[in-house]
Amino acid sequence: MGTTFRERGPLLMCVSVLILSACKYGVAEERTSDIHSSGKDGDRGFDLLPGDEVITTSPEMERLSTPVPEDDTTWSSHEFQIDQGNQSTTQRTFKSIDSASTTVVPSPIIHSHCEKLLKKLGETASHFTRCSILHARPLGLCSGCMYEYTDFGKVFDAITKEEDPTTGEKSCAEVLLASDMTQIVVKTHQFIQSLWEASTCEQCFDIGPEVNGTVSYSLSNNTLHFQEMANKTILCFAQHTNKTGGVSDVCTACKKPYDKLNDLYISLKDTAKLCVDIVDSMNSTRHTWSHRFMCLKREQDTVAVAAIAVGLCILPVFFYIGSKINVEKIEKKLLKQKRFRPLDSASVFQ
Amino acid sequence: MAARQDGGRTVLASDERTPLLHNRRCRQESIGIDNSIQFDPEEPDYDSVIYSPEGSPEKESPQEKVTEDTAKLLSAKYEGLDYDLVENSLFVKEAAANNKKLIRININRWVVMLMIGILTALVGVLIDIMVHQLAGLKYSLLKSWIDSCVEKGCLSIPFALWVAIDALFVCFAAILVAYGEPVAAGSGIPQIKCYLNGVKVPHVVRIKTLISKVLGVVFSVAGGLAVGKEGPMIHSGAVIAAGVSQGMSTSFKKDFKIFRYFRTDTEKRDFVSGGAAAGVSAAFGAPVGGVLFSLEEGASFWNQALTWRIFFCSVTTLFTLNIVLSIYFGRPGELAYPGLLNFGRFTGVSYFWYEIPLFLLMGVAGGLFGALFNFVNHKICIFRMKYVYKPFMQVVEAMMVAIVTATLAFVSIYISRDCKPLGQDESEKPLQFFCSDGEYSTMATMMFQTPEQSVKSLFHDPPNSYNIVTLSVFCVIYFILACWTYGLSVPSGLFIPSLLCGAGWGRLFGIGVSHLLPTIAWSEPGIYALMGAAAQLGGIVRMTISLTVILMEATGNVSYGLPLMLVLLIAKWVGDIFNEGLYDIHIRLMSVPILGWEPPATSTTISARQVMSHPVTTLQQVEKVGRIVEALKEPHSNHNGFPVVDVPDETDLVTSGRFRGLILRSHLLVLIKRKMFLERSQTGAIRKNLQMKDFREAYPRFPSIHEINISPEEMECSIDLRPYMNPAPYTVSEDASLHRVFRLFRALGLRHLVVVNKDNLVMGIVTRKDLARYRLVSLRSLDLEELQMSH
Repeated sequence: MGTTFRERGPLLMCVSVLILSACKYGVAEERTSDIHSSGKDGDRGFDLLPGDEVITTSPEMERLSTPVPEDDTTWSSHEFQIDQGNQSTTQRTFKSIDSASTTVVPSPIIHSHCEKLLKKLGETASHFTRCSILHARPLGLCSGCMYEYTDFGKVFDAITKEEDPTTGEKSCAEVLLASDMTQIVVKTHQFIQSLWEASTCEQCFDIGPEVNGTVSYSLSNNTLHFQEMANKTILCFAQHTNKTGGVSDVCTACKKPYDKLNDLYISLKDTAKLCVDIVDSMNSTRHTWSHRFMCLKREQDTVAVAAIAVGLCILPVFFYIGSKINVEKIEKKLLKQKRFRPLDSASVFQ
Repeated sequence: MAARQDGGRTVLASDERTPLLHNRRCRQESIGIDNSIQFDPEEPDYDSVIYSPEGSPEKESPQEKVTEDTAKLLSAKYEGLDYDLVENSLFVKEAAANNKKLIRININRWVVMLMIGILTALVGVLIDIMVHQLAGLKYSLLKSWIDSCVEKGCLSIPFALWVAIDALFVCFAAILVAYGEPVAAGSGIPQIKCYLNGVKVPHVVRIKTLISKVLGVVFSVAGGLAVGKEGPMIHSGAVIAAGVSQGMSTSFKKDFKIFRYFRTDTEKRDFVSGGAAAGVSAAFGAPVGGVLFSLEEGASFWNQALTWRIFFCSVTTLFTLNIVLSIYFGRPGELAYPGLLNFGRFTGVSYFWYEIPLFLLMGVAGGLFGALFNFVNHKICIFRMKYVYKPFMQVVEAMMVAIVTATLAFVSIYISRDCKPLGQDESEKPLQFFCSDGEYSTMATMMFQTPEQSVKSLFHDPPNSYNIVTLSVFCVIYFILACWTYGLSVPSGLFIPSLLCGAGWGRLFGIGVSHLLPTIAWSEPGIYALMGAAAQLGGIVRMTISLTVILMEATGNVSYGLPLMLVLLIAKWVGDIFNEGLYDIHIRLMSVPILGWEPPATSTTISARQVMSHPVTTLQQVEKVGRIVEALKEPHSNHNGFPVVDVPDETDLVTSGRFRGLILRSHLLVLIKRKMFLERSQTGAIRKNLQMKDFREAYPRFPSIHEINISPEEMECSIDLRPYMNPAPYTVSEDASLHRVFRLFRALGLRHLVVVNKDNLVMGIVTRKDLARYRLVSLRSLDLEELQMSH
């Protein structure tokens, strides 16, 4: 949020808008105490917050704040720099407002509480995106990125549901989600949501009851069962190709698990929509089975089919010839029309 | 002076006797139909056969002539509708008394339209659900057989099963039509067009027809024929309208005693136009298209109030259908099911401006294919009318078509090796057939589902879903099947097969374009499929504005309006070079005296004298019952209106007395049945005079004159016709041109137009058949031909 404004602000916003928005947002920040006296309602609200520890919505949130390995260090340092920049900008902003100068274009401040949520959201979103790409092939988005998705969802929920501790202030949802045209947060959320929905991932899970506004996901029995069977089949494939390399061997040895898996899949498919993990795993197993091992047996019945087809197609020929020979033509008799013929009438006169 | 046109050669004739029209050569030349009217070369010219004013032929009797080409005839069994109100004294009296009732009648018009809308939607839903269930059953049974047999090598069993099921279903549909109600065959649009044009097509709006139509269409669609349920939906809407507005059913002998004031041809026809619009709306989710359809095909003039009511009716239908279908599909209130045929939502880029010339090219192709379709179907229908007219044979023929359809479908799936991996959003029952596990046969997606779903697949499947060979084979097969199927004795819509065939070649076109010029950005092949479908349909039915709007509404995208319009325009123009639209061809084959929008171009040179029927059977103001009965019983001329005249001058053989008014056959029948004789009222046997409602009570099936018993004494009685006749009907001078007569007739929806001379003496009478017999030989020429009448 803050970043958005910082990037766009200097270019687009005129001062009057700025003053307005500054008043609206209450322009309160702990470090800019001089505003407190000048802003009308600036003294409300944010002072009440207990400093930096703001996220208290659910215990799960604790897990979110645990540091993420690897490149996370660089990420947070980067974040820090931004924070520094943010502070300096804001300070400059209010100086300029004080001096009623029109040259410097600053950005509004968001409350640190919201800012924290925003940071968390960024982290979780990047985790999910990374995870989804790593699980793109072989497709395993649902089972592989379940936690990343729920984490992201929790933070997002926290933003939307965050009750403003003070009245009269804008809630985080308003500030973060609905204050500009680009709507980065909203669009990112939509993207992740659509990815998840396109994969019909919900179908893989048993969705637990809502606790503290969050839902718990766990792989459903069907999914587990299917995965087990699929693993068995793939294991069988691996064992039999490793030993001999002969294809026919695979076909006989693995026919049983493969058929079982196939039947299970078909029965699952009939009852409900399946999540993309299962569909894809089945597809690839099938592909291996029929294209790599050439195990698929297809029995043609060409002679019988051809015979019936030819027989049936000849029928109409006989029918039409027969009807032409046997049936009397319908013939319409013409009716005489009564017409006026002046000269004829005249001749009758005479 | 008359200009005689003879095969393009114009001869100035100096003789009055030379006919302006001659009906021999043009008739034999036109359209190239086998014509068996046996004109003897020795036979004298038609115009030299002299008729006496009484009408008895002096030379050979035309009754000996026979013909089998019904397209060149007008059948006497079709009568006109009495759209014009009979303003006799009873009517005036009733109107004066009913002044206050008028508001209630007006409100009831809306109520009836609402009921028509809702009921049409419900019938649409019924059809949809039944097709869905039956086809679902059939396809899942076949699928399980095929899936198991493809491993065991017993594919001939599901093949035979498929053929048997289809034959059985279609047999059922054909029996319903051939033995139940023959008028329920086909799409019903030609019949509704005739009705809205003002022709009473026997049985067309009966409840029995509706039942045959609805059940028949369900079974013919489920039986896999290349037919759709959209045309029959329009017919169903019309029947419902006719039934609801009358508040009774003559077939069931049930009178609800409501809406009695709507029991006239005028009101009924207005409601039927609403019902037809509701049918279109239900079929395509196109309420505006429905209104325009009714106006284009039916209304003679723009009736603002009626149009508004029709629109109300079709929107009601749309909404009801949407709600009920959403409940059926388990998503109540979602309103995502606007019509029976849903083109689905087109997303992404609409089209690029530089593609419009390509669309026009497709319009040309559509016109050509459409003309070919019509030509072949015309030939097939003539053959059918000649040789396959017995109900038994019609049923067998329908079964033959079903068998061949199923055979071709199965064989093409069997042969095709075009497999695509299963996607996430696949068709309902993808058939694997010889494909590997996890793949489906693309040929099967087109053949192994109802045609509506195939249309959707062709419109929306991603670019690489079909390979070229599959599409071409499908197109050719479907074109032949559709052409063969239309005109069978089963209810069969034409829209879906045309759309499907057109979508096939349209998609091919789109694929071809993007292959030839891969560097340019083209829109998806689905758009080309849509344009191809429009072009093919436009080339076959040649409808203009209503079809454009229907397709536009069915796609739900106004930006397709321009290309759709252009494509339909071009397709119509190109097709019109060769022949007429298929509906018009079928109307001709039915020998219906239909009046086009415009009089024939050269009609100004023909006068009312030549057009009219000449010696007119007239009645006097106070007429003997015996004479009336005789006039009514006259076997050859089933006249429905009789000019009422003063006592005629017996020596004048040209005119038949001074014109006083016009009385309808139906009124005479009621008068005689009620025995409203002067002698009885003088003795006080008749207490009160008849009222308008007594005439409406007998509507719409008036008794035949043969059903009324009249004693010889009663024959001697007389009836005063003055209170019952229309004292001021439209008349026309004998010097008026055909052009003028035609316009008057068409615009006012007349049934009779009396021709008088300058002294107001009756010269003749013009009816619909007298006008309809003048017709252009073809759409390309200005030559007129004159049609003959038959029974």
